[in-house]
Amino acid sequence: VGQVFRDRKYSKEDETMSRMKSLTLLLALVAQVSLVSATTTTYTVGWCQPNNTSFDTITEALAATPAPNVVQVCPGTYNEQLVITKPVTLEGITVGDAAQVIVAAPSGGLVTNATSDLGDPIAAQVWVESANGAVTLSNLTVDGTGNNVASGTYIVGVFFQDSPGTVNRLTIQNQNGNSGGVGLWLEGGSANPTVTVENTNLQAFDYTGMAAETNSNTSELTATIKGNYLASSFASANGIDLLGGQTATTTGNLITVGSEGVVIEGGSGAVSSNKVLSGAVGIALVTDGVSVTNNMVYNNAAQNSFGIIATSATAAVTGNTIAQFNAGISLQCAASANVHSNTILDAAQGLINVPAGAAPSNTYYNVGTISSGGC
Amino acid sequence: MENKNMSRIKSLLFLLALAAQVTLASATVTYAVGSCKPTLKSFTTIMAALGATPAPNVVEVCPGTYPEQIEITIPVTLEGVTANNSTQAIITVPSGGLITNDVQLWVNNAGGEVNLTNLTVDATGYNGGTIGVYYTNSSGTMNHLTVRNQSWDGGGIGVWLQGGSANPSVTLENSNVMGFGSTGISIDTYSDTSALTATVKGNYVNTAPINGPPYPIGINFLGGGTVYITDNLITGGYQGIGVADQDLTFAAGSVSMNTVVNAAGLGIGTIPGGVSVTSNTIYNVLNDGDGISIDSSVAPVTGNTIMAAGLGIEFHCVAGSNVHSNTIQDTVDGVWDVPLAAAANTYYSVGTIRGTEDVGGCQ
Repeated sequence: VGQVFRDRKYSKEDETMSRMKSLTLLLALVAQVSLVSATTTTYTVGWCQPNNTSFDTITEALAATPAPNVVQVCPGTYNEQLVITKPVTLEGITVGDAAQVIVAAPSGGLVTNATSDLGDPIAAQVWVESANGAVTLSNLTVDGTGNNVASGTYIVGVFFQDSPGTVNRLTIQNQNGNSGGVGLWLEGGSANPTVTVENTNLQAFDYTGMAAETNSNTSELTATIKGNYLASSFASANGIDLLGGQTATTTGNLITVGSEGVVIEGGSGAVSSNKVLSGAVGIALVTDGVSVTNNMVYNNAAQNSFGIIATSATAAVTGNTIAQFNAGISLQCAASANVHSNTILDAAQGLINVPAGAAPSNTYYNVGTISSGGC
Repeated sequence: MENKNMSRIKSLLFLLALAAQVTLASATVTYAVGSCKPTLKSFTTIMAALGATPAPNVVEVCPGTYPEQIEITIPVTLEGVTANNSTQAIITVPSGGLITNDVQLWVNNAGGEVNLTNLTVDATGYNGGTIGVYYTNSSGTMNHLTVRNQSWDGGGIGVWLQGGSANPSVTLENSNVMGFGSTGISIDTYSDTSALTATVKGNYVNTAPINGPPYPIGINFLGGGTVYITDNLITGGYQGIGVADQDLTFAAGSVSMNTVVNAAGLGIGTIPGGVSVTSNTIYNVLNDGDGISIDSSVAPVTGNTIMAAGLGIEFHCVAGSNVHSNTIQDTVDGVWDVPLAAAANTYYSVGTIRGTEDVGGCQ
């Protein structure tokens, strides 16, 4: 009782002091909380930044405690298969005259480590697996040389699975050897992630440069694929495969491939302003939910070939320039008025498989037969 | 008074008749080649139409194949037209070959504009040196042409633009030039001043990648003019675009916003000081070749993207601060033989940013 009493006898000065102390304590607490949440944990892989906590391998850095926000990788070659399950930025850095971080296959090759939602076995070099926040990859080379993967398993440079994030300035190359090489595979899922792939160079894949899909009848992936470069001389290689279950904006890409430039089998979105050099089909639209506009489509091989296959009665196929194909646009006995304002130059046939009565308005130069039916 | 009035009326009528004649004389003379334009005076060959009197302003060519060697010496528009579900007029090599010269379609000192539209000039099957379309000292516009397969024994030029005393202006646009042996589009005048203004834009130029003789070049400017080479897509060959002076002739202009893909050895090579190289994209130079090779210390080489090559930019110990703000990605070396401090370019996935052929480099 005496204590309580005495406390009640605090002078006004003491009370003010106490309040100030409380305030200071609170401020300190707030500051601490801010510090904790604002602090970025950055690790280094390699020994080019001696002041940072450094690791020999990327896998070690990704698994360290506390979990990193940023992993900076020194120039060099890292023979690892990476699995990323947390939000993180993984970036190659420049040191002196060196600016090349290569993620390469381990000696002996890649192991099968993932499965797509379609049930496909995958040997992924960089697997971003259900990360619940943005994963950013930049300035890295992912090289599939020496993958040693048997047929039946896809060789995948980067596999984004049900994870949001950004891929910027990557070089992904040499995913080949068993006709199942895929540079970059984007797969959606229950998290309905948003992924951007930009300024990335994909080379020497023997199946497809980039695939986007979700095994779903609705869109569970939003993908922006812009300003990328895709090149493969494999006769079987496609550039970009949009398989369904995604909403994709595919724009401003430069594609040179042996087979088909862009294949659209499902989903929604737009394919626009791409430059496509293909050996067989420039753009194959085999669904009706994706518009194809303002692309430049060229053939780079002298063989029977199609500029655009348009199996769409509603999706716009407009403003494209198509040159040097055997047939400019095949309307597949389905498309008609939605295909217009395209320019077809130097083709044996302009439009083929034109539905009876349809007369789409396009422009033709040096075209042997402008329009033919057969439906 | 009546007579006077009558005389005035007669004079007026005479004047009106004269005016009508003048109008008639300036009317467009249009001929057709082939039988698809029955309302026009028609000829069976293009040369017959071009040589007819009065000289034509326009010659419309029906779809079909015309095995002719054509020379145009007057201002005229020669255009393929659409008829019977076709729009393809093909000029081919006559069965006896190219007799008078190596040119399939020669625009020779025309004295006014010659415009060519919607024609195919094809040298398929001809075993001899060929030039598809040759403009000498003549102005005009070529639009939506297809010029193909001028290739034999290491030679063959798709389109050759040459200036001269008339200081002509020529535009080549929206055309396909493909399957050439030596050069897709060649531009030059042997002159120490600008004797030609050439605009080459929006064309698609392609031939097979060849890493050796005859080192095919997509677009080659040899000097003696002012060129604007822009927004073309060039694939294959040894080199995408070349800019080289010949014996100190004049060279000016710009190479901008072109896309060069799958060149076997070099994306863009340039020597003179007056031609800028900006905002081009060079992708996938094969055989570890070079993106840009520059021998000028003054011409801006900026804003270019070089992606997938052996070397990004070769400075030859000459170029310096004029080369900046380029993006180089996925090359073994970034820049080579740089004489000054490191150029301010951006590098991604580059093995060695600054390489040098010799120890000591450009010192």
